[in-house]
Amino acid sequence: MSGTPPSAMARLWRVARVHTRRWLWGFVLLLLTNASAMVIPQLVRRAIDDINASGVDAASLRDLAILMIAIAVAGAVVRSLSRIHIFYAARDVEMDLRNQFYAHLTRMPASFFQRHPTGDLMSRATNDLTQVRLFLGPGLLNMVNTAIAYASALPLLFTLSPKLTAITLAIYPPSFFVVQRVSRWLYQQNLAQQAQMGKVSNFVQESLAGAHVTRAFGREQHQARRFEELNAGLYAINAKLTKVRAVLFRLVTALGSFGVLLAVMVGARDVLAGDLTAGELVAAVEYMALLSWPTFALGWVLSMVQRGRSSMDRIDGILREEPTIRSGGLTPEAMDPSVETRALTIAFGERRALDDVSVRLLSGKTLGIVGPIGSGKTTWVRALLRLTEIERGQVFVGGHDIVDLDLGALRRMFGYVSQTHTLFSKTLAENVSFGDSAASVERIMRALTEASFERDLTALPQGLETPVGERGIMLSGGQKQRASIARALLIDPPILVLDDALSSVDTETEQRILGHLRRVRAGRTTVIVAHRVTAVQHADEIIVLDRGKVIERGTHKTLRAQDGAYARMAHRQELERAVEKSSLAPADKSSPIADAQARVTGGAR
Amino acid sequence: MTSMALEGNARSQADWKMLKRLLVHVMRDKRLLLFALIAYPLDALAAILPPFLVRQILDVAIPRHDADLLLWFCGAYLATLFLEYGAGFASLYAMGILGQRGMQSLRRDLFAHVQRLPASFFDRNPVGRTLTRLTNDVEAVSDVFATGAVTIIADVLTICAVVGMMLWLDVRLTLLAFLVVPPLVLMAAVMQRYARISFREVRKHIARINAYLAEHIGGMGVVQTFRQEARTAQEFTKLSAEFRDANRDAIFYDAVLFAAVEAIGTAAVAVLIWFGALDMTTGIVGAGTLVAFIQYIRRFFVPIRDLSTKYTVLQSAFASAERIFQLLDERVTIVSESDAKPMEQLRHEVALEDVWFAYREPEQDADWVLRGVSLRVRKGERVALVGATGCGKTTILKLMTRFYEPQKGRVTVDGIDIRELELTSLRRAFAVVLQDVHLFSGTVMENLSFGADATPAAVEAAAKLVQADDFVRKLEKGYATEVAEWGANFSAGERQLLAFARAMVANPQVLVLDEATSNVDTETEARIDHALDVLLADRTAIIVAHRLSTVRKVDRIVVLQRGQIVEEGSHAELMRGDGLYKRLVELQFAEQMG
Repeated sequence: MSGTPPSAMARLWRVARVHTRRWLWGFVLLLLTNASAMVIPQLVRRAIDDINASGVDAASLRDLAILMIAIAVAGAVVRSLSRIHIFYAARDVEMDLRNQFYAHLTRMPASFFQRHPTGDLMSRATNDLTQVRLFLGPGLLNMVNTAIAYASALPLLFTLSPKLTAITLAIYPPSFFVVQRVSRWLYQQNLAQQAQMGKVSNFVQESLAGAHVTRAFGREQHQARRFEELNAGLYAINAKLTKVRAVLFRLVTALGSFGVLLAVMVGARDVLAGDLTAGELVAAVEYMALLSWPTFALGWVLSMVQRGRSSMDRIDGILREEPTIRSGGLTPEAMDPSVETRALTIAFGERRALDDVSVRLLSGKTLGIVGPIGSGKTTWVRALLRLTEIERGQVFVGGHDIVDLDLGALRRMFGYVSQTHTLFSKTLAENVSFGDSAASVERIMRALTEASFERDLTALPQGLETPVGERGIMLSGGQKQRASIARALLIDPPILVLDDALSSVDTETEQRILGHLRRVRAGRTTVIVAHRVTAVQHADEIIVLDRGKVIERGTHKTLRAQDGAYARMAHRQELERAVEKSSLAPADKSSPIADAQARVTGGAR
Repeated sequence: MTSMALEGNARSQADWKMLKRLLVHVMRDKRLLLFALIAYPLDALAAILPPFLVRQILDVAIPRHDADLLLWFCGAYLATLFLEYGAGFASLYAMGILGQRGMQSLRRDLFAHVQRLPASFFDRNPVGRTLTRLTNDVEAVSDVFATGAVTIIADVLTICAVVGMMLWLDVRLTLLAFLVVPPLVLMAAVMQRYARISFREVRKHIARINAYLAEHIGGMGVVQTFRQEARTAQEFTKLSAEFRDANRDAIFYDAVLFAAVEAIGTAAVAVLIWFGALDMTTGIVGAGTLVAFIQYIRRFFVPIRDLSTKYTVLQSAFASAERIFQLLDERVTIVSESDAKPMEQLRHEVALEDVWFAYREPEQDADWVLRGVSLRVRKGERVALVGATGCGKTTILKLMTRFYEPQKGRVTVDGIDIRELELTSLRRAFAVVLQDVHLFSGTVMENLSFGADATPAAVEAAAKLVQADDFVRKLEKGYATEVAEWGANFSAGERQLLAFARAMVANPQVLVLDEATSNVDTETEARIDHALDVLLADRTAIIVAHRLSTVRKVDRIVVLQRGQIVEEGSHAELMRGDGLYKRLVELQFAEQMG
């Protein structure tokens, strides 16, 4: 391979080349299709001329008819086969590209996904890929077909009537430029329509989200007026589109009819003059009719080619990006589950997310990290797994610089529960066994129990087999977190990292989960990032981060004794719990429901 | 009669009703409708004339060697071409425009309706779902007009005209031609059925691929930390292959159908030659008739081929229309009564009288959010509501402005139940400033005036009073600055001040304020504090308070616990006791120190 990046079209060619046999078959069959189509007008000519030249016998006409039917059937077969081969090939290429696209994404780091929002990537994998496929399928088919049709019909037409050939050449080729213009216009209007639709959609979304404000100020009329402006704009573009579509749609029929008219006008005079037989005129008209669709199709396809090329460029733009986090080559047999960062500094632009953070976590110990939002807790944790870009010499796992380690070998050391607890729209069991799809039901159950999920399990309609919905929408926030914890526990990781993973559960559940963890992970390395002091109070070491710097470190006991940020945080949270508890005191008034219940069941009670 | 049949009957009746409701929107412009109704038959007529004229030329003008007649026919042909193009364009255009206007009016109605729906509707329905009704579903209905599926009736007209013309030209040839046509139509119909099924499969599979892709792009971090890159790629490849296979079926049916259409003309011609030859040798049928028949058969077949595509478009449009009307039929439960009085000047007090409230139909005791709350706010009095999260503070504000209605008890203004007051006037009298400040897209000026009859000078004056003027002026375009989505180009504190300014412009009789809890820097804190002074001056106010500085500004503090009022009094009074309020204040202090 050469050093320069190949162009988008070269990439497309490399993918398409795999299916060469299909493409070849498709085009050979297309050739045969055209050949069969070209024979028919000749047969029609013979029949008509025979009829006109009196003394025809019915038997020869019958033979002609049978031949025509045979050719029509054969033509239909090769026509469908050629379309099938070419369209199959286009779909194969689409599939290969799509698979390449996904496989490529799995290699990209988080920074890539920040640069390319999901919507952008999705649009490339769907809309752009469709454009490329249309270019390969109908696009190529029609281009080749038009070329073959012209190459075969024109000489035949010429032998019938040079005059009609001249007329065809004068009208048809220029008309595909007209069609091309119109279809490009149509495409642009379509884009404009989509853009306006986007505006309408944004406005509606925002209005729905802010419906309470509109209502509170009694400004429904005002919002309706603003909506109507956008709505009218949408109508204006749609009206324009309607016009373009109507023009384009009618252009096709008009083009064919106009050609026939000219042929008949000129040809009929020749027939009158005796230069042309009636059969020859009919055949000539048929040939012109054969050319009218390819002419239109070419114009349509030319604009499709442009779109296909620019879409392929956009897909190639992604495929060409190299991952900024590359796997090292080192795959140690066994690694000590210890972690160290040495003067770790990570900057996002101007801002230093981490500033000179040195932490050492020995094998089997538990580290707690606390600090306000944006203090760098998550950044530190993500650096351990090399989910963010880091320099050599800053992060060590098992004594190895992680930049040298194979990414798989490094990440195998960790069970990471992030604060976003992303679940997939599969069953609960499939989600929990995400890290090891071969896990037994017993292992899944054990992980769920360790994460204190077992009580919720009975409330789920299908237990383990309950589909959790997109992003786990069927589960509550706390259930999602506990399912994510179970997912990490299932792989029994040498180092467990809980990144603010307990924020959606109440203190009681938090303590139950942590209690479980202390038992099952006794003597195992654990990192707990939390907002609550109660989550880290048992850790061997606690560090307090603020604006990327370590401002305090020690154990719960020593930190609580100091008058620092940690002590203040602990005090506040204790008060908070006290208030929480007092608010949970039972109500002294009975509710109407309780009244009603008392009335209904009064006797029984 | 089986229940199935009954259901089918009910269903088609429902379809018919839905169609009628849709047509109301589409048929608003009677003149355009008339225009389309005239253009359609002309279009059908224009479609059947050209083959006939070709026949006349070939069978009449040429055998007679009549050059003049030939010219006449050619002229007539040219005229029909213009007619065909003109009428065809006109009918497509008129119907398209009617459709688009109809969709505009449908969207307008939907938006207006959604705005009137009660807050409880928004609790039950995520924004995305309602958004889909207004966008995707209306688009699906609009497709009927954009793709020309609406011409399905006109197609029938064309088909009838073509068959009529063929019969008129030659009954025997027509019958012969239809020896071939029905089997082919039948085959096409069967193919279409399969094609439709396969297209449905294709759509199902592409939806799966898109969902998988979106989900895994969002969750790529999890995929990578659990080292499942290869396995998910494998899963994706499988989905991809399933999609390709579904497409292969669709391609197959489509290709066969397409080829059949191409072959049908030829086959029909062959049959004509075979059986019609005798007629032709005797001179009854000329070559022209043959040519004309070839063209008629094509014109007959093409609309039949397109029927299934159009049918699919119509089906999905009906499904969407059903969802749209479901939303339109969603009841507006909180409305002004027909005899509602506009709210006038507040004279004495706003009150809650033994109010019980639950957000959903209460099934258990815990569902009650308010349990018999009675509260009086006298004119000019400023009352703060205080309590732990979920104690019902914000709910009280929502009941006062009739966003929700209590299950038991009533809310009154000067003794009049607010249900008897005109809704808009009630809400205009109560300006609400909510915790989460919602700004709309548009300029700062548009956001502050928010449809009120206020001059730019008055808006700026209001902004100045709450100290929002100077930071707005510092912006490059000042009050003409566009507000980014969700007000992202302003800090939390600035958004708060803008919300105060918006409330100032509205100049409410009663200020209803849910104080933001977000942390802001000390300078902004001071500004908000000052702005609140301005806003509260000489005004009746009910505030859900979080800041110590705020509770000190009010005349009375009401402490809520689990939907009940547990303490009431001034700050000083309550601090003297040892109740919930004192503990809350201690907590607040701790937070503000830390």
